[in-house]
Amino acid sequence: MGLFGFGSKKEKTAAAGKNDPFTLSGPANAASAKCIMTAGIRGVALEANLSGDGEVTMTHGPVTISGENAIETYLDIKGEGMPLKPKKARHLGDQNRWIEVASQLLDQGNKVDQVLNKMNDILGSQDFLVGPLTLADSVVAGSILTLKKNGNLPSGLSNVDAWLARVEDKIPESLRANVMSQVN
Amino acid sequence: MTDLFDQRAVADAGAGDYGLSGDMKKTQYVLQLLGAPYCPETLKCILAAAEQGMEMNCGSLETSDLDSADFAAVSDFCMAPALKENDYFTAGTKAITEYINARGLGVSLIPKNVTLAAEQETWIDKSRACSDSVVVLLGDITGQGGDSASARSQLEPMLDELNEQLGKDKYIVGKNYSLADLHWTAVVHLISLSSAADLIDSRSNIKSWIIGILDKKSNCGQSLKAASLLPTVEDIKANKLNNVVIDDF
Repeated sequence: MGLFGFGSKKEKTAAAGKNDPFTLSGPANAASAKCIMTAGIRGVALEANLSGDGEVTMTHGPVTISGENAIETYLDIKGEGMPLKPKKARHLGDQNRWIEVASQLLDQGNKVDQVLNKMNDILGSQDFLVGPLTLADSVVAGSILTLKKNGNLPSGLSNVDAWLARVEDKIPESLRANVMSQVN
Repeated sequence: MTDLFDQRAVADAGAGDYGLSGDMKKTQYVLQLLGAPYCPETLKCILAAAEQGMEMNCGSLETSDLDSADFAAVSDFCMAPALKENDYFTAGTKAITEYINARGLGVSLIPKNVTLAAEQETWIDKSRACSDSVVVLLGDITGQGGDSASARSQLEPMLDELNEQLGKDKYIVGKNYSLADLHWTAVVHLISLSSAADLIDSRSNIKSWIIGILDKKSNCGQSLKAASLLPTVEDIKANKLNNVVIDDF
């Protein structure tokens, strides 16, 4: 309830404690790789127990979240410092377009060469996909690292390779080796 | 090459006026959307514009457009629905609805509470998982065939889950209307138009929720009811999308 009793109704939800661990379960696929990369860049120590099929799920204390988009949203807000989600509408639209490209095309093996060539062009003139570092970078990196792991990433994309190194560099050093070992 | 946005979703009223009713401020741009009336993802974008008080002219795509050079020229990787605002372009439901939410006049439809924001995303993903089945159920209207028995059985457990969720509170993720409601409005509306409308009628919580949504004024405080822009069976047959026109600035 806002000042003078107006405004939207506030709701109480289950909340995790400061020391509750973040645990990811589900299949070892692009969806889990995206969550792991997002956690890494946001400085969240995420314990991943990946096997089998089904939907990627994360628990944090009493909170259980299903689905990659929901987990990325939660990790982005719960991570250290400012969230990656941009405030500027155009950056937000671009970020989400890349997130859709990752799930609709890269993860499905559709138009992979076309998307990667476009990315290679864009990343020749800017450090990150949208301009500033956003969730698009952690999410698309998760998709691309999965393609690489499965031997489906074309070679000769020097700007994409340099971008992957820049994204990896954004993961705090204390978490980096563990994060990259889970997605490589 | 023809710009499909300008060919099918022209933003200008003409005669030197601006906006769809001709009285819009030049500092605002009319959104241009390309999609299809039987596509739940397109309708979510229209609802977002209406809820947030942004004028939008909507043009319909034919199935054959999706692989055409004209569409490839305006939409990277031929992704649909596609949105243009003056010199800006984006595509895909998540990108378009959140862009409009950020640009529009109303308060944000994304919950501030982190758990609710995440829960909203889960319900949005569930609604998107219904889209292909919804399109199949509309086959009698669109003339596009498909296995409607299989589509029904895929939708049933998801609608059961939604019905149970709506038994807990007024809206899908709590007491306030959110993007999750907007996404499911499109899905439930299209199922209601199909020969499988009983899937909605037999679930009392969904039924009472959608009645409330259909009568709800837009989030931006204007008199428009967003759901009034959803297509009828005749609109779908004619491949016609309704524009979002704001006439009470």
